Amino acid sequence: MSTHAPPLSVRPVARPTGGRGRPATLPLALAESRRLLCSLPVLCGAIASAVLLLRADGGWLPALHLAAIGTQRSLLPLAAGTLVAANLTALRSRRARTGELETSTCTPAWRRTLAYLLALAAPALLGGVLAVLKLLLLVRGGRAAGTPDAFELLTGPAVIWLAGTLGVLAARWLPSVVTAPVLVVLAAVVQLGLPTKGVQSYGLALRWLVPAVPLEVSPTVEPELPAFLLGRPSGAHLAFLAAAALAVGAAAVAGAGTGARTRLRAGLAGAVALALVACAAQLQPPSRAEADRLVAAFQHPERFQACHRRGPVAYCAFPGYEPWIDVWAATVEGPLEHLPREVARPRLTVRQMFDDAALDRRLARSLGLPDSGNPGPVHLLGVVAAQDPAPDVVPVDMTWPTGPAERDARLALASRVAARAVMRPSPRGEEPPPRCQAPAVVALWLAASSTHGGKEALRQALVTNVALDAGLAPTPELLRASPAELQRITQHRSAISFDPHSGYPVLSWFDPGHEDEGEWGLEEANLAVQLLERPDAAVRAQLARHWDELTAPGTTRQELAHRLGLPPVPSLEELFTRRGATRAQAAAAARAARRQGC
Amino acid sequence: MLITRQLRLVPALVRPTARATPWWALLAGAALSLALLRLGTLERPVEPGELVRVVRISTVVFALAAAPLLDDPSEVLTRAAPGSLLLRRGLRVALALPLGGAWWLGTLAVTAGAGPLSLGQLPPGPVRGLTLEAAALLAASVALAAWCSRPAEQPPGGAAAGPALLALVALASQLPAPLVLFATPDDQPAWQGAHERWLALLAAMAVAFALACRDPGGASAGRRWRSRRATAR
Repeated sequence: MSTHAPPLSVRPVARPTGGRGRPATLPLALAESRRLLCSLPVLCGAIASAVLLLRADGGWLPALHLAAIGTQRSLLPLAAGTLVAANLTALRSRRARTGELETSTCTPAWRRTLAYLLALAAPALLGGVLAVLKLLLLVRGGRAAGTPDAFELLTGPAVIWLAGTLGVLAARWLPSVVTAPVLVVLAAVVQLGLPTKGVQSYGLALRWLVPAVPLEVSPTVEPELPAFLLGRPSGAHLAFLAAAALAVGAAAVAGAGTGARTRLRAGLAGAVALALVACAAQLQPPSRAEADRLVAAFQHPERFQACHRRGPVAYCAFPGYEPWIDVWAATVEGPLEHLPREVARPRLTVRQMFDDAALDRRLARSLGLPDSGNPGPVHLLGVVAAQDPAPDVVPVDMTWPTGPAERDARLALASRVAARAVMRPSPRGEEPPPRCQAPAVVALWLAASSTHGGKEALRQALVTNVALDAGLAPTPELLRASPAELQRITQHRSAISFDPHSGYPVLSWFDPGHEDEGEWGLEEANLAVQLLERPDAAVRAQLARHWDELTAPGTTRQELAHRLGLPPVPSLEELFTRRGATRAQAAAAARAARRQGC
Repeated sequence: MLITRQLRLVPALVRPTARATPWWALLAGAALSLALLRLGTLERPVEPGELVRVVRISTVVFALAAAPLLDDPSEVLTRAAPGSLLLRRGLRVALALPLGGAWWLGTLAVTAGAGPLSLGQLPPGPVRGLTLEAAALLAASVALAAWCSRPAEQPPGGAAAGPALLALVALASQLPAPLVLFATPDDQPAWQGAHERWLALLAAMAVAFALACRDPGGASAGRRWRSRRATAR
């Protein structure tokens, strides 16, 4: 019996092909993209990113140009998941020990690697869709300011792609299951460490070396600025990330071995050169013209704003922030409408301003800051002085809270408006005199009574101050107490020793960022809260009857209490004695308070 | 009786187990972890909170490197060997423990003079707490690797344990105040509470490791007891 089998017929294959004579790269990439999207790391990363995106910007009116930047950081979990999943995909044949089998197929290793790289489009696209959905949600919520920068929006997906290519490259060069998670930790250390600690030692430009560059530069400076002042090289950064992804991908394909070595090397060299050029471009500090524009917008915002007049008030917002005017107007109109009919409405300008910005040290030097040898960023306020706005200008911030905090913001803005409507303008500066005496009581009552939630906000601000002065934590139970109950609780407490230099007691932590206009007196807030417990119409009628007298600068709070039938107000000496002062200290502090006009 | 029989196999198993253990991952992880620690403590003195953060990052790196500790390409063959899975895996962990101890001593040496972990001062609080954290993280890494190696066909093992540990650490860093694990030494009550939870985590991970190392084909304790009773009758 013959054991020789007839030889198998071998069909020669001209080149590696997939179905219908095309290379198998694309069908393989499609299959791998489906697997990637269903892999556990990508799914977990996508869920974490979706949660972060939903939580981002919560509690503030949206500014789309800032929200687009925020999406980059929120997409980092998805990028980490993609890195791990791409690494596991590229290591699959090694883990399943099918590498030898795969070499027998007609698809070479470099084509499979290319397919893995192309499959990364799926998680990148998923990231892009999540980011766009977030912005659409913000737009749907209404009152969204600004326009998102397309480059900033594309940076998140580019980071995901770059992370995936790193995973594939790591599988080629360091084929171990440990590599990807350790790479994620290292990337997280760089991503979180460089923009915060690194910039203090090596300058602001250094942060552009991390994939997702945060908006925040300094922990003490609010980063919100209009889009035209941000000065972020978003295009160069996106080009840097794309070129880096290309270079890493080309290195991964080269690591898998290919016949087209010359072309691949040329491509790799081109990608590296492009990455270096883009990197150099993004590391350049903003131009002098950009710095001058920032300084001009800081000192003279009116040059960049268009104003919209509504009745006696003009609302001036930075370009893109016009949707917020309705929100400001709803608060500003309240105190003006509550003024007695016979009192003339003041012509006011509500102007959006920013109180500081972080500046590159090199630019600060060119603007005249002496060289201190420290390369970290500087505060714009430390380089140029802020210009005091005109007395009829009511400043509003670059942010506006929503939710429970909006009540406090509304009361704060209303108090700024009421102060201009009722009180004489006081000098601004580092330590302006407190807003006190009868006109301050009238202004605070006007602001709180005309604002939605204003009464409760003022009462809570007062209770918090009194409680903290007495060394008590402002617990919810304490915040519900009336001022009279609180006085009973705190009258025998002097937890904080009396500071003879503290001056007239003021309402602290109220209207933060606008202390340079003068803080409201604590006793005045107490009287306003007592007035707020009465019916609004009755108080309005009483105020209208005595308007000229009560709003005259010399009228004291004692006279106001007498006129409006409130309980007698303690003298300054009595006030300071209650706060733990000795008789001599109380007399000295009272003299100082009188010098301040209180 | 059963335990004595298993322990009798240990001398024969030590050498092959040591040969099959992926030492390179542990050594590379220890080196990378210590390098990161040195980098994070270049500027001295380091404030306590910052130092603790850097030590934690380096601990996570070493714990990730311990994820493939249980990966054993020959397990398909050794399943049939007389030693139980718990014995074989336990032996691997026991062999890796001296390296883990050396890495931790290295950590203390690198941070000497950088702040509250200084070897010269050795104040008990932070060192004891961070040692517990490191032990719990390593236990979590090994227990996760053991659980991920349970599927009979093509177990993912360390490939899944690393990312799973990373995800758990990320989740743990987001825990709310009453359950916080990564507390700062400035907040002593939170630090104490957190380390009670770390101790519980260490115990839970040890139990999880033991449960994950039951022989897949072996009889459960209940079934064995029932069969013994039936034989006695």
